Amino acid sequence: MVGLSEGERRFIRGGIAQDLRSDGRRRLQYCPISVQTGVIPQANGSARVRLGATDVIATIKAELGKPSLLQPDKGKVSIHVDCSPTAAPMFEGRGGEELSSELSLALERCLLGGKSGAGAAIDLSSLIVLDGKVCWDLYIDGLVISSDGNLLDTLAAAIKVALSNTGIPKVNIVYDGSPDDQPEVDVSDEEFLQFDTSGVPVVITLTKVGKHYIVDATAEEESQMSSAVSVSVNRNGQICGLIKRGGTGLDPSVILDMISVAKHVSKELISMLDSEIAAAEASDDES
Amino acid sequence: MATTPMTYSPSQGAERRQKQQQMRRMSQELDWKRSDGRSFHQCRPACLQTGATNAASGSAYAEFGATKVIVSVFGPRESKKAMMYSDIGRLNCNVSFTTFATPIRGQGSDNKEYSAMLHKALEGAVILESFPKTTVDVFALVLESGGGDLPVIISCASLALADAGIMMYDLVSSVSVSCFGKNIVIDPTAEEEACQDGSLMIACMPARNEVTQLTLTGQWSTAKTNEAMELCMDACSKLASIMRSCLKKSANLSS
Repeated sequence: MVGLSEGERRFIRGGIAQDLRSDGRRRLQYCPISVQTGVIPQANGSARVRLGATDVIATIKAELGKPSLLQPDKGKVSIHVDCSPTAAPMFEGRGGEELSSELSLALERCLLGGKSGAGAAIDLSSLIVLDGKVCWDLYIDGLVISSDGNLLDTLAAAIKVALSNTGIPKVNIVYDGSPDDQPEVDVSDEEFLQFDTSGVPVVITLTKVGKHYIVDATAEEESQMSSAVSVSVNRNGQICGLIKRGGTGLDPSVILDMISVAKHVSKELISMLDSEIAAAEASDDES
Repeated sequence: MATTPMTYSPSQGAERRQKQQQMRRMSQELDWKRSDGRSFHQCRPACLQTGATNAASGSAYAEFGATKVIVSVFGPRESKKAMMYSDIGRLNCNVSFTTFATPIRGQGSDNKEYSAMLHKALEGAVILESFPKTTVDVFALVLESGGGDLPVIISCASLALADAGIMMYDLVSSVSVSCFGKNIVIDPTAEEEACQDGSLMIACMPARNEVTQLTLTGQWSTAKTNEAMELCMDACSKLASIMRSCLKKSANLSS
């Protein structure tokens, strides 16, 4: 991105102060969102979400594996984000690694809940096939194709939609030998288990520019931010995760105010995503 | 005649899981007693020391219960030639765990994100304009990981930066709380962290009343978040006054 001149910077900051951003949106208004499911047929579930000019793909692959020794009654989920060089030339090789690990960590924190499993978006105990021996390993991968700010929100929305599209095959245990052997399993091609994604939270990133917060910042607006807070809110208005990103310190009352603004905005985003998911499912059924 | 030697077998697997499940059930009750006898709102005793290493510009050692961390600060020194010119300074943070830090050898390297989080917590406090074109390196080494590692690392690092004479807006102190059902418990130990329902970590500058880093996991309602944040901010200001008295003591000793 080319650097901004002083005049452009003042234009952005002044516009936000007057509730009129460069593309005509209000401060708390999202870009038009477009959702496609089933874009990668080889994966168990996939989705492509476009929020303004930001374009991401999320895929979910499930493989059979062994549960960890510390938690033998739970499956495993691992989230990884990859920033592709098609989004920006600086992402080539190791350039995008810092951003990728920051995004992966933030998503893991928002979607996987506390250590005991409370508040997780995906119920890990539903991924178990045979206690202590066989479980499903979910690999959630996000790919950033085009980046114009607000990557975290878009990735979280893509993962939510991909989960709604995911089908885990049913597994029948054919032969369960002695405790040391791996049991033989038969993975069915016909029956699938669907995830219930009504409990999956969305992530709202509030960017503070001057004295006001904006939602869904573009890359230019993000370059002018003093700090940003990403809040993960679920359908019941509970906070499932919170990360403060960006340098300047914030007063605690400001953070609490941002949380309440995020809760207010999340209702709109969740209803938008739900209607898009329903529309995608309806078109899937027709075809 | 040789007698069979006495042996012990560490509990792994079924026994340990049972103990954890029992702890999880007990911790949901209101009158649960913590394993080290502290009350819900009592932090571990903090033992802080500056000047732990000789070679560094500044260093600090912190011992909070079973968590032991040593931090060295080198700088400001010349940035690598590959880096572009910048008229503000650079802060480079690195957190590493010793292989014997965790009960299972080598498990500490799972926490690769601590370096980035330490950087974010400190960059709001350090006056980067005071050392342009140069880099300040902060190296943190966790000798023993006994729970609440990142808050101890952040507090110890800001003490080391102060010991090195790097200009800062204020000391950064950091505290974390765990939630178990309805109970909010401050400064959790490693076994409490393993079965927590959610956690909140705050790094703040108490004199300026500004939060530099905040992370929250698990499911929280707004009221609980409010309560936990107030608890943390209060604990942070008390910890900052302990850090300040430690710095004053070491300044008096050297003069």
